[in-house]
Amino acid sequence: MLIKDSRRFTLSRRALLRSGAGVAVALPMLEAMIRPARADSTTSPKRAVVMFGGVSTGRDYDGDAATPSTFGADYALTRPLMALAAQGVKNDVGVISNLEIGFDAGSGLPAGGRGRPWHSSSVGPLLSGRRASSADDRFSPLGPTIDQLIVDAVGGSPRFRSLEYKVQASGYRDETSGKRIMSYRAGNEPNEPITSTRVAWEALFSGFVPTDPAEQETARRALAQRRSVLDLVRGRAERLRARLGRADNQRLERHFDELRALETRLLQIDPSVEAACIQLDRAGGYAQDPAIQNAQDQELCRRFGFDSVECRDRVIGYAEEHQRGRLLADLVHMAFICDQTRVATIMLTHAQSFMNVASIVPSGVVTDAHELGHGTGTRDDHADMVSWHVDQWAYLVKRLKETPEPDGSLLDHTALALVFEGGFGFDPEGNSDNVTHSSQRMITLVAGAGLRTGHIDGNRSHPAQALLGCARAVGYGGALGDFTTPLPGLLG
Amino acid sequence: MCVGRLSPLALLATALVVVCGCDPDVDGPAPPPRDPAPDDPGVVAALEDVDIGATALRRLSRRELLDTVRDLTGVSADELIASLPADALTPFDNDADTQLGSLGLVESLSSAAGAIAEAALARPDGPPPSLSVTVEAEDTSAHVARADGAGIYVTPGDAGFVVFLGEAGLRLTAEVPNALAGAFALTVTGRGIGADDPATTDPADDVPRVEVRVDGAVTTTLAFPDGVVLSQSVPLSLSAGPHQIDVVFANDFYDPASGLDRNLALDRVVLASAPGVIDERPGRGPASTTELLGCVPSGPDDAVCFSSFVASFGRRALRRPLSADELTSYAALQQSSIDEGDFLVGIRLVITAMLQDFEFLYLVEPIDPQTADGARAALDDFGIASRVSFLLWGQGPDDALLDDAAAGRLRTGAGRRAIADRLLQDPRARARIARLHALWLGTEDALTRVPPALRDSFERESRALIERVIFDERRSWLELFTATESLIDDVLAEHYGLPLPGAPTWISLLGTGRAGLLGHGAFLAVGNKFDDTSPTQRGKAFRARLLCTEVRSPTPDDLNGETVNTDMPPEGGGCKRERYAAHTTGSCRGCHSVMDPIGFGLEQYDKFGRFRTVEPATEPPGACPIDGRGDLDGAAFSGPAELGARLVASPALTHCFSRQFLRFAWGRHEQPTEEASVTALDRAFAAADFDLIALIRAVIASESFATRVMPAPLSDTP
Repeated sequence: MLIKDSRRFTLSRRALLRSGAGVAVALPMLEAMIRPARADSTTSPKRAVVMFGGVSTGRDYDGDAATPSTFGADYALTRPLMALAAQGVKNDVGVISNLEIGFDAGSGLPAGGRGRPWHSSSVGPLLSGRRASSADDRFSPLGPTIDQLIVDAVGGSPRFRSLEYKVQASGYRDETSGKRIMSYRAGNEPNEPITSTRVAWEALFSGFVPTDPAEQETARRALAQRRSVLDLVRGRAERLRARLGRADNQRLERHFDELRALETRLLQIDPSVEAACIQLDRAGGYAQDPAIQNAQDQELCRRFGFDSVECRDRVIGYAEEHQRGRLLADLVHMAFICDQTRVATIMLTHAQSFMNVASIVPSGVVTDAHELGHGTGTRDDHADMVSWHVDQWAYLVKRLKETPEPDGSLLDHTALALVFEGGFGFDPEGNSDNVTHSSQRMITLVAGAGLRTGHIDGNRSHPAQALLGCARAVGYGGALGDFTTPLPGLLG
Repeated sequence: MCVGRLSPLALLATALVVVCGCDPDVDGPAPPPRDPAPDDPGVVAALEDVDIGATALRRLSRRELLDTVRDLTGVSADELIASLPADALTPFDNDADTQLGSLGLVESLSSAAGAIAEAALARPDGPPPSLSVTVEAEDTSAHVARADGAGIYVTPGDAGFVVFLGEAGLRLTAEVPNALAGAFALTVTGRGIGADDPATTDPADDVPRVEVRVDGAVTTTLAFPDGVVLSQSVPLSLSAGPHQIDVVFANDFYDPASGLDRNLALDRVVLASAPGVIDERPGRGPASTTELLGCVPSGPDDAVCFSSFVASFGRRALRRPLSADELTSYAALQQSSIDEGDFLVGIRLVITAMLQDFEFLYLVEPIDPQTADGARAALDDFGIASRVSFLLWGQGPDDALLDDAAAGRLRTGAGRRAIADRLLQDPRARARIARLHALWLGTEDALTRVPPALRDSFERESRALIERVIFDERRSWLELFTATESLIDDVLAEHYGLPLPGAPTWISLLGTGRAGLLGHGAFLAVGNKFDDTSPTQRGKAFRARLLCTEVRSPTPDDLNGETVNTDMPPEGGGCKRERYAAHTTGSCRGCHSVMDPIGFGLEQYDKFGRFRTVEPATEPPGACPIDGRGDLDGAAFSGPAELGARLVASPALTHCFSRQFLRFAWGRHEQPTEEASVTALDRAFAAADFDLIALIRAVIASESFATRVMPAPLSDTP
């Protein structure tokens, strides 16, 4: 990642006082001004990252190519896991296989059990540990997801309670909303993720001001103006809400809360940031979002002809997801260094992902991730598509590992997990076996915070128990939905 | 020149002959309403049972924001708005139940508001900048051959014309400045010389054609029929930076033995920016900063100019006049102008604040907060104005409509009807009603996956039929599914296998198997997979969208112990029909028997709507013929025309459309208790003889349109 210059947080105290006078409902100023614990402590804060891939690790009637054949530290990587070696983090990662989300097989829903229809029914139980509301439920009412529970334990950063990013930009033939969210504060409080790298960058670095005194004055003035605008907007919204009924107010509530949070963020200070905390170069990919491709690739059209599949479909819907994943991971990395947040989720692909894989699978097969699971393309194509997810996650593991902190590396203080929508095995919806529509033989990858490494037998535990292990590693002592105990042996 | 007779939109969107051959049917000024009379009593009676005022408080969709921002500021903020969280399509993009507040929402809105304000204030006065580049055929330095061509062969022609042979033509290069990035028009003047080959069965095949290639990619093809000098314009969208445009002969032919020879003579190619064209587009907004301000400030502290801007811009942005207190609170931002010695600084902050205001971002319809849940209360004048405007235009009211509101002209049914008639004559209403259909049928989303050269023609074809049936001729809305005519351009003609008409022309499709929207490439692109059509997905989409019936997943009882793969057609060899035969037996039958047969009836049309008789990619080729036989609830059909005829015979179609119309108007899905409204709207539609314009104006005139039902609080579970 290109680093242009060293921009730090500073504060115009005058602006703070002026804006503060008009703030009626923002978070208490003292709370906002309190430095995180790390400033006065030699102990680095704990952090956590959960990534999600909306695909299954197994492929219809094609066996389970993902699960390594032996357990322990010396297991041989399977093709879907090869990215761990490529990123140089195999020895830092725990591969937990043979995890399972149950369903109602006639005697009621087990703990953390999912609804019988497949697509997206596993997402809620997987990340919240809560059983579905009924045997046929697809979109279960969720409790808080693991990331949000960890926030409460690690003490949210004063700036961002948590960050939710998403890499897949287009929904393709599924433009409904439920399949593109993985984080919930509570049953009915989804955290809609940010897909725009430009917006993600601006959100993260809007409080940074240049070290050059001349530029600093301009930036401070702009910040003060932005504060006064938001103060006006928030105040007007408050008065409007007083004129509206309850239902209307419910619909505005979260937007209002986020507006207030933004206003508060702009009032916060961090006068003694670490030297490594710098503003990532905006020109390094954050100035403009890559467009969702809906035009044919000109070079391919020249080569294959206008009427060819290559010309028409190869890039359709693709929006530089590979690069977008890297850019968002770099933001999480810097957000941790700067202690702007301590918990992040990255949704790599939507549940039942229809993402065009032509640009991420080396063979260039023109199809979507979902179809690969059902027999389109080859076994290797499917493995490579899964491996792309692993690579995105492993890249962040590597970045954290390479980043020193006073008491170890950033990876030593961060628990990371990568979960997938499905595994391989029985599908109660179709009453069929050896298929991709299954929550059996699921795989979860974990790393950091002293979590065990090597290939670990999940022994048909619920994957939420693996996530609970990650949460324990960073200090969360509570339950995850229906589960109170983490996967045994996961904590090193 | 007949440019003046065409709407600017048509000029931008249509390859048309400007020297001759203007087709008055392509587009034109909307006719006055056929029926300025009061609504039909049967329609009025039925509408008494429709709770049109049961709206949800909803946020403007990204499209609505884009249009409203452009209208207000003159800024096209496509990229900024695209960074907002995507709207769910259920099928409309304004479903309040899917709209979430989030960190990403406020950050992207905050960022976009500032950038839009800055752009709005950086627009100099005077005529807009323009760019015009002309290449004459005599200029040999502009001669070019296709990269894969065999060289340039030219001979001098008459009066500045040059005859191009082989795969040669003219190259034009242009450097587009940032300020002009966007719409351009390319005009090619030339004359074709056909070979008159007696062996050519279709004369259209002999018409000389040129390809227009922008930076190497073919964007369109133009036909130059024998012996006529034509100047043809095509719209181009060019980004800032250097561009290379080649206009090359695409179908040269010469047979030395017979002497048959097809030639093309070109005179010139002209590339011109099109600000004048865009200027005429309704709702484009102010053209300069001065026009936006409405006054010329005497200095940073000119309080009169500042206040007048706040009052006028605020009235448009917040869709109501601002109170004295509100004016004062915005006027305080002028302190920044004074501090920085720049009047525009404070103005920028005003715009930035208003574009983030909840009353701008949401369709707020405040009624007396003491109103009981489910009870009805009157909307104020400006609330009614916004409701009409968003329903018919998908953006906020213009000044005239706000004046109407201020004068109380929206309080009576007759007043609202007259105003609806005015709004319906605006091109924005045509775009809105076309989009209502495009979202309902799923074509807007499907078109994003269609190659651009086809996409524009697909979109124009469907939009033209919707405008013709609903607006221009006020025919029965059912004819959208049975109309035998279609607006065909050369791209569509080639795609559908019809004679090339040269310019877009209404052509009868009788006997082709196509009719109405279902036969259009846009609709046939819905419900497909990457590689090919899916009879199941097409059937499922047809049921969900046109009949409002969802096909559920199988239950254990359905399966009865059998196993199925719930997401994919059966694997194995054989032709598609044979593979899908597994769906016709046992446990699969229950669901698939209502989906697959519909899709199989459309199988002779590929995923881009092209006619075919064999399956693609079989070994040997042609091994799997497609018979195209289908079935809709027991009635056999083959192809879109017959499916359309079956569809309009079903009462479920208009009932479903009535349901969708209410979802569109309410900004949410209906509750089970609201089925009576759906049924009553369907009854009113029938009473209006399925004249959609008559229905809409009656809805707007109806009593409940001027009221709002106090919504009950949302439950805590999804």
